[in-house]
Amino acid sequence: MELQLKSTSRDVLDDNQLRYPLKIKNYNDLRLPDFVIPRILVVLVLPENLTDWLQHSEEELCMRYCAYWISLRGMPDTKNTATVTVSLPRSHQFTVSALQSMMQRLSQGVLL
Amino acid sequence: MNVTVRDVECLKSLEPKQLQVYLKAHGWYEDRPFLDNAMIWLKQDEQRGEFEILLPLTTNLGDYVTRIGEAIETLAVVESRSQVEILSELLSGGQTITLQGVVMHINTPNSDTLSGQVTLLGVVGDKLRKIKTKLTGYDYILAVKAYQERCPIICLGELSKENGSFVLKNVRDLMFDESWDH
Repeated sequence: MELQLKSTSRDVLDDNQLRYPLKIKNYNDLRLPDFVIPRILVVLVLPENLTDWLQHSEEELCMRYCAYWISLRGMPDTKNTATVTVSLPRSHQFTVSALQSMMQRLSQGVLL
Repeated sequence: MNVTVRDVECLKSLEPKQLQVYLKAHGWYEDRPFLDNAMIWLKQDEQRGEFEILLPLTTNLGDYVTRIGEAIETLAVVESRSQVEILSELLSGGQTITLQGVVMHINTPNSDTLSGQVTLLGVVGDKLRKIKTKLTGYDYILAVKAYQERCPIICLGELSKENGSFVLKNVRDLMFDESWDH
């Protein structure tokens, strides 16, 4: 699997989804159906303030906030010239178990 | 110096078929398909374990060039050769191999010159294969003698695949293989 990683500290979350303005080049690199290795978009949402990003202590290493993923495979072409706003469901958190389940599905020949 | 091949046009011009022939000739085997657009090839190495190549099935894929680049990178590691060497061998179409085998069949000799087509049985990759070749002069006589005396031969040549059959071209250094009964 190949990942396009992005991060943002803007207020992009609503009740159900994260709306992220993706550059056209990235959008086209992710939406075309014919790739050997499947691609997904991963967007990490960060606090506005840099000092809030990470907290170290002996108990924990805490990183704020979290990342979301989506496959844009098969999405339509666009007439936009700079960016396309893509929606990532809030249920698509990019967690260890989500990643494991994606890898599992791919190994069974199921596209994401 | 390690040179990484990133010439897009050059990599694009390589057909999956050329790589398949190369991989078979170098001991790789098809393991299983990967999703819709690729095949996983494996090679076992006694010392270093298992190597894997993900080979695209067609050239019109978005990441074709990247995958071919990776395949060449892996081949360079496995064979301890430069990527440029491997690419030029792939582009030339025929891979230089040392073939050890027996003469299986001698076609009717050409009437005008001392030459003819010969079918060899030898190991390509990990399997015994029929390999067609054209021999002339002394090499042809040697092949006939090897056939009559059931003696293995060894030679150098460029292996390619034509119409589904292995063909050995530019055969040289053909001799009786004295090592087989030691």
